[in-house]
Amino acid sequence: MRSPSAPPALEVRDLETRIDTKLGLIKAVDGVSFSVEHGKTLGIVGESGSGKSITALSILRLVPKPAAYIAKGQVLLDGEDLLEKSENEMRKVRGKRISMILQDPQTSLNPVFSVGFQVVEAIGLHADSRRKALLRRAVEALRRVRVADPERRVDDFPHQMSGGMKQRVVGAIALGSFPRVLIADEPTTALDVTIQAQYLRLLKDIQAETGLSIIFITHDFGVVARMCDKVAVMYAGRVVEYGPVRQIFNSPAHPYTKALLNSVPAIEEDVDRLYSIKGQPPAFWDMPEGCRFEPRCDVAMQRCKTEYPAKFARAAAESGGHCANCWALEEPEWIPSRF
Amino acid sequence: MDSEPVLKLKEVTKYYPVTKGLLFARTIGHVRAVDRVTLDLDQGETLALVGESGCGKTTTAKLILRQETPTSGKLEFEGQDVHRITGAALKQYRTDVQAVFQDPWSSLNPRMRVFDIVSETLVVNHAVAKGEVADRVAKVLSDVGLRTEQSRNFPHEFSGGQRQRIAIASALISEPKLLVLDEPVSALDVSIRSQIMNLFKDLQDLYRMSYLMVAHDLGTTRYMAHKVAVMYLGQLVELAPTRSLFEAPLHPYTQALFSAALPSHPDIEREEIILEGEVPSPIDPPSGCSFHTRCPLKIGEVCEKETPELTPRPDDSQHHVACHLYTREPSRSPGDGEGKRV
Repeated sequence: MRSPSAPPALEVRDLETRIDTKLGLIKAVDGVSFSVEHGKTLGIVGESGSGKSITALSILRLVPKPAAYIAKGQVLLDGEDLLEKSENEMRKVRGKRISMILQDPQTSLNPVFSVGFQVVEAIGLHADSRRKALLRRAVEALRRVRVADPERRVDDFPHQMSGGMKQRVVGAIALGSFPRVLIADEPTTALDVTIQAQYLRLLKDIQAETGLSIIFITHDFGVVARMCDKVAVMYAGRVVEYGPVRQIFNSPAHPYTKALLNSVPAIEEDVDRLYSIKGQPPAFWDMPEGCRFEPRCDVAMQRCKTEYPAKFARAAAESGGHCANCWALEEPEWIPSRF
Repeated sequence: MDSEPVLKLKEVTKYYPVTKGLLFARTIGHVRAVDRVTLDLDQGETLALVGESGCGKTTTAKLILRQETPTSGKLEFEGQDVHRITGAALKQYRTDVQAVFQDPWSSLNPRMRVFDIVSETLVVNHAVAKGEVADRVAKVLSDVGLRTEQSRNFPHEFSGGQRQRIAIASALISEPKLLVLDEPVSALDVSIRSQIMNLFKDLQDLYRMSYLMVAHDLGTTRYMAHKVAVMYLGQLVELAPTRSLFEAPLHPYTQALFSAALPSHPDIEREEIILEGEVPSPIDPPSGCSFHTRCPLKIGEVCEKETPELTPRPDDSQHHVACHLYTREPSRSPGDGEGKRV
């Protein structure tokens, strides 16, 4: 392990991304902070519309312009702020230092080019070798993501491959230039369970071999349990709870996290009746003034209606930076935290 | 509970022809979508069909809904052959059997008001007098947790969870005996899923319906189903009451499926059975046991040559499994690992 003083592979500080919509200016990402250490995995969990995908796009500065823009914050990659870089410099970051895998392999590959061509295209952007050498590297990249018989498969077109195989090719493209950080946005949602298991195992193996840091965006706590070291739970554009994965599963602090964990049926045990969260997430143009979860919360107080909760960190030293934004945590075990 | 099953499937098979050529198309093979599936669904019971995409679970649901006709075999609903009924009996069947689909964004007509969507079944089948329709709609909306005033709105004015409630209301209005649920919660957000699952459970008691649920999520299956049928390449490989299946899955495919399922806690370590390769093509499925190409517990030649039959376990007549491991040498359990090497 590295010393705690070494900077994390990627750190996001107080990020705010706004989107200009017909219904007004909304803050899709509102003051989000988290970090990923080298060789570790951070999970960002949330429902649709919680801002997790926009957060990922903001890291790579790929938010849809001009409607969306990053209003403030810092994205520190090995200590360098990506938000200060020029567009040209950013092109050298994307794919080379930070890569991304999206949900649906069907739409992330081009149907009219062979997969080899597409892998070469991605590697070629960041390397200036000859085509033949590049092709060899493409075969290598496919082999790394365990595509069987890569010499032959390199000439296949996407439609000749199954969903799981296509997602491996997407992985080969993303990892072809040996990035240090991988952002995986629901990469297994479109896959079948057994293929999902293969893919998650593959990502873990590659991480163990290369020391890759992964940001895993998901709505599935099962994926978090299997893959992640740290978790950020997002609700309505904000991180409401953040901490090491075992802390989150063993002693969740935010009512939303607790409710979410209780509303997922387990395959390991019989549950008589699942907890269900009442109502639905708020719309961005109609955000509650105080805590955004207050209308659905079982333990809401008067104060929650008017004031957004401060961040509280667990006082115990071994909590590993577990913190949550909830007024119910105003008790000795938790101390107010500034970051 | 009635002893006679509501729905019986007997050796139900559906093949789709694969053709070549445009004008003088000839059949070059068949996709075996559903292959000799036999199962019963009791009254008030939930049966889940689970398996990966392409295993035939949705085709089975379509056969029950008469959207497809079987190539061979028979489906019986309350003793009647589903694909032979006509006239008034068919009308009755269509009110008795209803469906709720996965995606409430595409299953509701955007140009119809909720009232018209929900009441359509009643109006089309002239099931009740005109004056009664409004009362029935009001009742069913309140049963699914919507307000009567909302019946004037259009589907786009609702969220995903509410739309699914509308879809459920429109299925319930004819007071069906059987509801076919095709992935009823997988398009919904996590915090909404449990609301809808609980609603299904409450409605089952209220309306005394049977559910046939198509699902791929094992957590949902364990929570919702009384009985589970596991399908692989169109065939049933295991059929058992939910608890005995989840506590002791017997078929190597079921075991692999369960080991691939994601844990509900980071400390849960499962024995990883990662299957080699992918599901073979249903056009030319493997001979013998269709799982033998990927099976980690293959015994030997018998798996390649003979198709195993779905047989009840000697110790539990409710638990059926189609695997040579259990019929050849009944004493052996799959954990012995003896069958691993050939």
